[in-house]
Amino acid sequence: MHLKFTKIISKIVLIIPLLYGCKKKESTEVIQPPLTPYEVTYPIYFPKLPSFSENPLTQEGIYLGRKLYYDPILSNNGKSCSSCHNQNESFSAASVNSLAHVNLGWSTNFLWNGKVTGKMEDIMMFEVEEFFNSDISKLNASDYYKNEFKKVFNVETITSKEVSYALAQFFKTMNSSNSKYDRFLQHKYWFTTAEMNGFNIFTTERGDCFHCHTLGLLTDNKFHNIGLDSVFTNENNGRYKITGNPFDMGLYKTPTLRNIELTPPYMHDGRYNTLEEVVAHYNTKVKQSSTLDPIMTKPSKIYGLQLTPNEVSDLIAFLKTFTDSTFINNPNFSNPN
Amino acid sequence: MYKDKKINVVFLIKGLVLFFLFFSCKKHEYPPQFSKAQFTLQVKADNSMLEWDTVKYQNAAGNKYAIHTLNLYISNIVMKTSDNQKYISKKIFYLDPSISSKNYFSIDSIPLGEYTEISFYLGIDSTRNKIFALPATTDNLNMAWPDIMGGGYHFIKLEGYYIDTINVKRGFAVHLGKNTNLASIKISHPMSQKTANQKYVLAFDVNEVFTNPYIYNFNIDNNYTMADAGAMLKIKTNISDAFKIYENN
Repeated sequence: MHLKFTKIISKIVLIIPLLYGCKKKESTEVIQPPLTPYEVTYPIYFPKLPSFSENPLTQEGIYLGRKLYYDPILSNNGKSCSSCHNQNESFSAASVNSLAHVNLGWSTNFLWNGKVTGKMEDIMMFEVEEFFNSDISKLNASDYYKNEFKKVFNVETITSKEVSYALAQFFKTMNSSNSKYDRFLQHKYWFTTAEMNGFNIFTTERGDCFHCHTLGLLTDNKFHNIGLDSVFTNENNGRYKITGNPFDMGLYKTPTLRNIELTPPYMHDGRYNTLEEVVAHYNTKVKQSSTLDPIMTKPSKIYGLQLTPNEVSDLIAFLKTFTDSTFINNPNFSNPN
Repeated sequence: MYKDKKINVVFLIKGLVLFFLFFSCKKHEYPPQFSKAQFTLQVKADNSMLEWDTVKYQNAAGNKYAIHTLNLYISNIVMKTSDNQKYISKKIFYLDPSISSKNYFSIDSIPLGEYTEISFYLGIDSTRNKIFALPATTDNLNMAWPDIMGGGYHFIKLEGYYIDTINVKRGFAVHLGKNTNLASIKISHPMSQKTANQKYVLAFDVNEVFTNPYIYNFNIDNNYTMADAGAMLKIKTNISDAFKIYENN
């Protein structure tokens, strides 16, 4: 018995070193340090931020996207994203009437006519490959970007995909949720009389703005004809250009009203320069057409809301509560160069 | 030594036999006692499948119309047997039949049996019809009904276009909300929950919304219902028999 036990133990003792004693072949590959996961925070009245498992948010990826946002290397004409999207204009630009880059991580329809649908990575791919027609070889010729893309995406050769992924990560962090309106919803701020009157106009049949500029994101992410035109050509046919559906004639995407005070001019063609002109449109200047949104066709209001001058003033006072100074001054969104 | 080897082999064989006996026994399967039911919303107009954005339908009032948008909530589903046994699901389902991933809902843990009736709310019951009571998804936020107008959510948004009295195409927006307009739907139809997963069609006939008992005329009764209590009451009353159930074969 003792001999048998000794034999078993000796066998085990011999096997273990054989299993673990072999020296591992030393790899020559450089081990990248782990990336730092990042979680976007937002109010409970925002929808859950869509995520994409192939492109998880990391601090390193976000910073890389931010670098690219401000770098003319993406274009062939010396411009960067920031050339037409200024932070102090809520990442829009009056000079070119560009849409504001705010809270886009929640969008599934992009551009005025919804030419691009899907997720953030999809619109970024469009921007890289079609809008900028980026010459990716310039990025591959940069030691800095080669190293950064290797670190973030573990690629030796940068492609449009990684560029769009990095940009998408940055965009998903560009969120505005600290305006007076937000603080009101969180019971941290109480509206002035004018702002409260404007809120009531906005959220009742008096103004009926809430149907399209819904709670939280202040956009329903859908398309509507709001009566800007009654005759349609190739220049103003809106969503119809994409779908070919006659019921989409003259429909455009609902833009967010976040920071709307900072983003003139207004409408897809920039025809209005002030919020007063915008409200005047809804008030008395709605043009009839066969695709005018059903919400705009209330009895006695088919040509507009008919608000009084005081009501117009109060509505504008409320619209200004969407301004978020922390967003336009956030150094995490600013030029890192 | 020979004796030791013989004993080792015996132990090995016994071990192998026990191993195979343990893993080869077929598990005794018990029949399922509960089942699942999946309901696919099918939108019809006059018993035909609806074609979206097509002005080809005519309601009882003679309004020719097209449907552009339909969003609704269904909740508090009760399935009842002939001897009054009930299965209740308190879940709330958002439906958009224009999107394939949002045109159906499922309820599970239904006891097996023969059911003769199903009832549900078109909308959300008053205890939960409060803003932010539902998860803050884009769909739910887009259905919000302002607090100042009663709060909670739209129960249904039915929007489209109709031809008015001067032959002009004009929009209509039939919205129901507020607790007083919660519509209770009851359908008597045999539903045999005898397998793990039964499938049904929940047919919604749009024309019924404008027909019975009130013949609803967009030109007279209002093409926009949200701020019109009388219009909403008519729609709520009519809508109670707009649904039917079929087996989904």
